[in-house]
Amino acid sequence: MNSSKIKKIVIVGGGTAGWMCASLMAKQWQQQVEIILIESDSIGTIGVGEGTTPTIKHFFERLNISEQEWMPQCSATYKTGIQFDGWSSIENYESYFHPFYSPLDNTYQHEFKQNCFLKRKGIDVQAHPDKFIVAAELGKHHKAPISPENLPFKMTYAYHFDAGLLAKFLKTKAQAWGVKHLIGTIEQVGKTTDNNLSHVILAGGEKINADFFVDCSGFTSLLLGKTLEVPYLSFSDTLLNDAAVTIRTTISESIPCVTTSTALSCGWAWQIPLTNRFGNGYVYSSKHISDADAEKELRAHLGLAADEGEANHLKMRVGRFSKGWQNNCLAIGLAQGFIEPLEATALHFVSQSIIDFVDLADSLVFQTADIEAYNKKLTTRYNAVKDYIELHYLTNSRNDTPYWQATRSHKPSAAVINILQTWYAGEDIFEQINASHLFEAISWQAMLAGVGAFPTSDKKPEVLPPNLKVDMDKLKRYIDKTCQYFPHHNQALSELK
Amino acid sequence: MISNQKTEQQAKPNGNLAILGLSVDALLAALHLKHSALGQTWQISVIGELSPNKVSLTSLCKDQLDLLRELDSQFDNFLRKTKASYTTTNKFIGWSEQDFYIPQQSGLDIFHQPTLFEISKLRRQGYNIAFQTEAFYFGQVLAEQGRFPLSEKFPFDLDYHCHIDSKKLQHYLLTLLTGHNITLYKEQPIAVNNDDKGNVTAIKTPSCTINIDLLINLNSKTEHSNFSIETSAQIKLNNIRTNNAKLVIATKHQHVHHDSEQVSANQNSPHQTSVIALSNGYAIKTPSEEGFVFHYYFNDSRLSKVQAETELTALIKTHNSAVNTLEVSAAVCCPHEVYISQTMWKNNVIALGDSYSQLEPLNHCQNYLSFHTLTKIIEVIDANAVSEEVKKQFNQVIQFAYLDALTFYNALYLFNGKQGNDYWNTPQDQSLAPQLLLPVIQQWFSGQDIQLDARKVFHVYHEVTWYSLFSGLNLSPPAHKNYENIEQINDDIAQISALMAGCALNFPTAAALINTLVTDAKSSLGNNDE
Repeated sequence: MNSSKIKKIVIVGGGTAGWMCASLMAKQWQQQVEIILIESDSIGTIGVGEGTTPTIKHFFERLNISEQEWMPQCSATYKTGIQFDGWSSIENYESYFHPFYSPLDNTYQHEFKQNCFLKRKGIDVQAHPDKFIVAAELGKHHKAPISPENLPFKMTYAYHFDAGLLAKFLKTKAQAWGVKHLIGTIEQVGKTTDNNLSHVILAGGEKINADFFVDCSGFTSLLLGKTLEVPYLSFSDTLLNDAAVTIRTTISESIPCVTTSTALSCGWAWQIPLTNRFGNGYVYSSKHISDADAEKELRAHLGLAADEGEANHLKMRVGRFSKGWQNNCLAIGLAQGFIEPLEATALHFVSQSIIDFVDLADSLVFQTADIEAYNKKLTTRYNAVKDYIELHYLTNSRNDTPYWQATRSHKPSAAVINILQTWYAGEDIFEQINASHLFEAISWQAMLAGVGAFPTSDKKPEVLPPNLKVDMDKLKRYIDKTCQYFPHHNQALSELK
Repeated sequence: MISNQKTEQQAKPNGNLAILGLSVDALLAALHLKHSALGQTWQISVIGELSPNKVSLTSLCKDQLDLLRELDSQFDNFLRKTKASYTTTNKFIGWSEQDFYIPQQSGLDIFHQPTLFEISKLRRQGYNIAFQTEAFYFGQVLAEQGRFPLSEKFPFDLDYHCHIDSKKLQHYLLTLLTGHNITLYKEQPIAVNNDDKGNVTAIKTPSCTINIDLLINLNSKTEHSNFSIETSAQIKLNNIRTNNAKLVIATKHQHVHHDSEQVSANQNSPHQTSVIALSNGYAIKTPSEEGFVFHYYFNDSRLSKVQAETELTALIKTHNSAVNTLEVSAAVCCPHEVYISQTMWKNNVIALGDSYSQLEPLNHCQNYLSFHTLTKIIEVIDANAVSEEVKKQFNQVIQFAYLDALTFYNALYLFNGKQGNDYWNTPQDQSLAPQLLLPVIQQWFSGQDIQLDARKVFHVYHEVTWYSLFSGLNLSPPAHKNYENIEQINDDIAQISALMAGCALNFPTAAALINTLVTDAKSSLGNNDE
């Protein structure tokens, strides 16, 4: 392992991941290192991920780019969470909102937890997450999560944006910060005897040497997978969806600030609002539905005729490479791995992987131990997100198609089994879930409660004495009063321009 | 077993509930009961004669105010008309080397409490960290900015006290009473009928006999001394607190109050009650729209009434140098003995208010206790499960709550920082600290978080208030080392300050409120012209 200082970095791939990587590295290391991004003009970008998690804010903060600057250029909107429709067939739990929790939710977090506990003990109390969370109400009324002057709480939120436009925006930034942009298709990758990458050769024969390489080549995983032959770990045994079809539609007059995830016959459909359009897609299992039928079902779901809107079909490889960093090669984005976009984690992996790397290699020098630590953290992150996504399927109560039954047919990971056992036993899942997990314990609670995953019994639910009940009217007043000050999403977006 | 069954039969889903007394407390209790589920099935009556109020200003807690708002949509108008004033923080002057605050709490404060607790812990570990506990309270911010604690739109709870002219409040409540189907007997009881078990079955007045299923006694101890309802012997308070009868802080405490109309309210901090340590007791300075009202609670075995008046007059002058003469003749002096009773609920008689207890008037906690005690009574009766065992448990819970409040006052006296004065030095003997106080002291001085016994469901003073008290009394070791992440702490404090400053915008300043009233008045005149 060469632990000498990195002087030259080659980034392979010019999609969202490539330019996110280039811009942050350029910003972090200024002119200390030469950065070249090689982009093929013959290979298109997938542009995965129009929805994000709140961690993406840190990425823009690291770049010191304001919302006013980047959001309008990327057709970006605010996101308060994800609305899950049709994932449960239990009465009153057919729909729920997975919110981003803000400090404002602390006021009634205890009550939410308490009612979830009581409900699991067979007591008749309100435990639907939407009743307890400010972001759910903001989402319902298309209100942006931007704190008003008279309620200046730090809000937690994410964004929706056009990933292609973001790549374009960051490309300009990165180039201004010194990143060299080469157009060319890589034909050959050179290695040293100790299995480090040494150079790439473009189609025209140009040889480009570097002492560090970043693989942003998408599902191809040219450097990490194909060249360094890092083993790939598929998640197809637990996560069945392997294809998607997308169609764009016209944006509504009042722009929502939530992603909608609607369960369909063999997967689920997303709807993501941008300032100029909705991004729609159907993620499905090709073993259970054909591409044509999936497109037909998506069109029906959107109310579109067969000739309305152009459909784009994608194949997805769900899983990850066993390492994200091998020797002098770091993989970012799809080249590193991919979990279906149910919780919009694709760009979370991208931004966090880049941030983790630049923080570890801040001095442009790294040791083997750094690589091991990085990979360990990445593995933990993948497992945690995979578990959380998996739980959506395990707890769904649909029996209307073989697909939904199949989603519950595998044996979950030990961590998921543990959480489910704890939950159904009426015990505290908060102690089990690591605080550093992307999805905090309250998110797991919201999901489990949101689909109505409560023990069933033939016995009539016990009634709580009035003095022990959470005052739901008071809670509603709190949420209503809190939300009234927040600006309408359209207004907040117009103020960015 | 048999006796239990018999006792349980006494509990009825409905019946005649009589409240004895016509004080503000009694009238509030009647309305509280009527407004509850209990009030829909029980016939409620109030029996008593009007007597002069002991204090000219009555302080109501937030829960009591909210109750009255629910009963009368015009209640806030009444508050405006009677020029009620508000308190969102309590300043303790002269109790320690530095003045300190114990503000009222807000739902907003819970966001900052983890930071406060952490900083306090570091400070007690000897780190040099400058902070003011009150900076973590929203009520303090409102008081400092002179903002009224009234906002229709603020989503968080905010605790405050409202000070209302006692006489006007009493009349208002009497009017409200009649509008809510509560029977009023404006007569002094002359006799009481008991059954063989000791239950009160009827009360006789000069004009009628009122049958009773449950009696709530709100006659003050002195008022009913010639009347034959005594719920139980009273606990000798000083014994509880100190085991030393010489600690006569409360015994025969006399109470002098003075309405000083000439003293203008401080426009910069009108929503603050001050508790000022004097030579042999303390004065409470309560804001009112027309000035301040001063009450001096003193030990009359150490100070004569004349001396107390002189001292109070001098104090008032120091609080407004523009005042040269004061109408001392308005001063009244009445006993203020501190006590609680052994049993609140015995047979079918419940002792409430002064009939059960009279505490130190610091922080107006008696209102809070009365309100929540009555809420618990309603819960017990409403559950239709009154038994001797239930009553016994209830009495224990309630007594704990009152003792808990007293423990807080004990700490205030125990750690007071005054020197060279017997009145203040006598209670400083730490060997006299009551049992309930010991765990709290131990936690504080060993640098732990303060954690009150969660099994006790009725704490008047929550953990955070103890932090205010102990910090205010300067009970931290000298700072002798620097804290590495002091910048982070300063940033946290600055963020908290910014958050509260923003939230304060939801509350009107005095000037804004006056402008609104003037505009409303002009608008009203304009409409009349038309």
